[in-house]
Amino acid sequence: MKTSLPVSSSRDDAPLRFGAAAALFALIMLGAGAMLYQWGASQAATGASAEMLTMLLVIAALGSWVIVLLVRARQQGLALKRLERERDRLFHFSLDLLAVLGQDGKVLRCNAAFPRVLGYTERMLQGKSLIDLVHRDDLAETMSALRRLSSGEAVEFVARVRDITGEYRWLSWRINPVADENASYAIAHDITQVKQTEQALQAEMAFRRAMEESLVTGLRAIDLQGRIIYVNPAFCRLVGFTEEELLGCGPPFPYWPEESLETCWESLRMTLSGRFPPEGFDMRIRRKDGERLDVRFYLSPLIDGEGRHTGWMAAVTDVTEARRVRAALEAAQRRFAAVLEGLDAAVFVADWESDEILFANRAFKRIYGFDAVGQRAATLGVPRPISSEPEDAPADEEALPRERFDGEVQHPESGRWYHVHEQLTRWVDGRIVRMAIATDITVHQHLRALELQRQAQLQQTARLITMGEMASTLAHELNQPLAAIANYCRGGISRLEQGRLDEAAVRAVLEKAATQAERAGSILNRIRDFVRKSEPRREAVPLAAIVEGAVEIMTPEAKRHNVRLLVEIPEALPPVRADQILIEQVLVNLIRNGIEAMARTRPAARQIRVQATRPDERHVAVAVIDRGRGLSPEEREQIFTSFFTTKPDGLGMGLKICRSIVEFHEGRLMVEDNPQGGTVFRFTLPLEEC
Amino acid sequence: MNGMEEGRLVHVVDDDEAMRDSLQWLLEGKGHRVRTYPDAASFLATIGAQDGGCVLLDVRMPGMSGLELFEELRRRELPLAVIFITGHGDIPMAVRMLRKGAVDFLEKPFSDVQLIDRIEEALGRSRTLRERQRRRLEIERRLASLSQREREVLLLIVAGRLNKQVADDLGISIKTVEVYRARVMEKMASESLAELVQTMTWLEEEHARPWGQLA
Repeated sequence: MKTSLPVSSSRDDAPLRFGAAAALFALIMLGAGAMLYQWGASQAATGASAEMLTMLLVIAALGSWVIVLLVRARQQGLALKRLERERDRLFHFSLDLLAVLGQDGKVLRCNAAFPRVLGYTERMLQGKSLIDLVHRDDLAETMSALRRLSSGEAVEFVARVRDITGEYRWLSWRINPVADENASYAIAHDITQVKQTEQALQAEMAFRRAMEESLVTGLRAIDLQGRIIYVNPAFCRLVGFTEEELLGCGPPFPYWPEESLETCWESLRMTLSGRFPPEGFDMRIRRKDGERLDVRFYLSPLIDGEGRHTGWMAAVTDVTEARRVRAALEAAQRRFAAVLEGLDAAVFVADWESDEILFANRAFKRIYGFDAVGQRAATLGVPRPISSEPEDAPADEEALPRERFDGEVQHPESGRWYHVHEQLTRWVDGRIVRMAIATDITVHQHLRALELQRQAQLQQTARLITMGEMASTLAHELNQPLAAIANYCRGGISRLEQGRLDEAAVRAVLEKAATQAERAGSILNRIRDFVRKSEPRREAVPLAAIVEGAVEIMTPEAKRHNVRLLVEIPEALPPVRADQILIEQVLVNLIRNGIEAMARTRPAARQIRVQATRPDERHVAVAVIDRGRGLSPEEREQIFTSFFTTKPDGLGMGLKICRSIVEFHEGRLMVEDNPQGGTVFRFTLPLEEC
Repeated sequence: MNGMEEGRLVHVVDDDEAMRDSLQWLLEGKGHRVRTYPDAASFLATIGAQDGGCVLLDVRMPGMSGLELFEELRRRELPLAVIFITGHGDIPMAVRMLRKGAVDFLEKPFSDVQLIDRIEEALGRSRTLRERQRRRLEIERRLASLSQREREVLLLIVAGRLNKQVADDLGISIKTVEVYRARVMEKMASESLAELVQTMTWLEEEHARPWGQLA
């Protein structure tokens, strides 16, 4: 714009120079007239031409007048030109877009605002119609406007026009037709900025509206007097009243329940005085339908654009559901706790690292004390089962829960047995804990031990039982020939008595009786065969196998009595020649005696060693060494006699039978004192290879 | 066979040949007639509906056992008396069989005196059973010979109706009743009304009495 100024200023000077030139010309004309007059006067002296002089003066005057006229006209033309120029300037410098349109709506002229706003030069626009440039959406309106225009109507409309970059500018058009010129004058005002602001505002409003609509939190503003000045839809939904019903309401508000008006007044007073708790407060409200709701109010001061405190804004949330959920959770928690507390099994949770007990149920506390929670499990003596896996702390990313232990553990103090199932898991606060459930299986364990013992006894006596059954069957079979023999004899006697004895018949019958006697004999042989087969069978057996068998039978009972069973058998021992079951029975007997002898020994010292040694090349000696009460010399004398027992419920047959079995195996059973306290039973067996 | 011999008939059912043979020898020595059978089936195949006698029955036999055979004899209502012989005692079973009408339950070995005693008792019972059976069959045969009208008259007079009442009951003349009555008495071989009533009562009782019961 500035660059064009010098050009325009030179144009403005032109009329001045033109005027100066005209004045100069008039002066020259006047001078020439005067000179002509002087020349005329001289001539007049001559008396020649007074008329001529006058004529000259008239001519001069006329010329001056013409000149003046000319100058004035020139001046008038100049003023007009200036006006036109000003109009042109206005036309060109107008910030609004100005254009002259032809009858067909095509651009004839346009001002500089066009290139400025839209980027097109006048040349580019000339011959173009508005329709070529308007936004498709505004086309219809534009066309209708142009139609009206052509009928001589002035039109105003808003249309977006594409600029040279392809973007659209919002232009507000006003077009006036000038009928006699067959043209229209168009003014367009760039309202893009306004439009954009308006759109942004609309978007903002819509966003705020949407936000308000979508808020589940009710909002309610009151002024400093407690009058409701704003509610959002959520608040209306919450209380069941419409915005119209609420706005302008003062306390008591329609949603205050009649039964707790006093509380509500107190809350309002608290609000208005600004003394509300920052974490909010709970209130019961009454919905329009009468339903009561528990809500929580969070309050904040309402500050207007100028920073003035104009009221209080409350955010209101329905906590009825939250309360119900919480109540349900609490009930569930109570039920859960009741179940846990009611369990016979002990349950506890201990921190994996610190071993601190985080939770324990009643059953657990009954065993370990009611102050168990907070203490270290190891301190309380909770048996910590040794896992077969390495005891690395579990990695954080490890999949939990993971089973850590599932087995049986004995409580060192009480000696009771527990089935313990231990898991590593993540506690509520994220740390890794071991959670264990222990069920007392002492009774079960005891029963199982008894069962094992009974099985062992069954195995031992199975042969005897079978033998007995067999004998019974055979005895029954034996009845048959014996009864027949008796019948033959009695029949013979009867005939003798009657004196009607037929010799041949008697011979035949005696023959038959003899046959039956032989039959009886063969049955007896079968019985003997069977009995012989049932005798102990001695064969080559590894001693370790026998000891293992006996220890296996006795382990449950030993555990139950806190007795450790230690086996010491040298390797590379030749097999013994023995009936495995019988020797096993001897060991079981000796171990059981040992366990019973240690009833008064303190638990930690209770142990039985089963030790094999090789006193010479041909024998092995097996010692069962206990740490029990030992035997007095008298007891030692009598111990192998029948019906001697130191046990209240003993039969006194065990050691007698043991000795018989050992002696059957060509061995010896002896008893000695254990120098460390207790008794040693030792028996020898011959080795197979000798 | 004559009645005396038939009365002393002993059947021995036992799978053990020596037992059968020796029992036969023993019992024949005591004057009994003995028939032996190796199993239940052969005994049932031989025995007739009116054959009496004592049966020595082994409890344990292959095929049909002694107990099963006993049940079959009961079912057929044969006039036989059964003595069980067993190798080993089973008291509950013995009690059950005695209740059902067995004479005794003897455990081997038994003494011959005991066996003979039991056989005598069994034979006595068998005889009674046979006599009752014979009488019953006789009465039933006579009853069967009555015409329908005679049967009606019999039932009415046994029930205590007088001739006149019977005539009314049946819609016939007293005269006719008297004729029927005379025929009934004749066919039933009864001397008097009292005897006829006694006969009919006995038959009724006999039908109601369990097999093997004497009283």
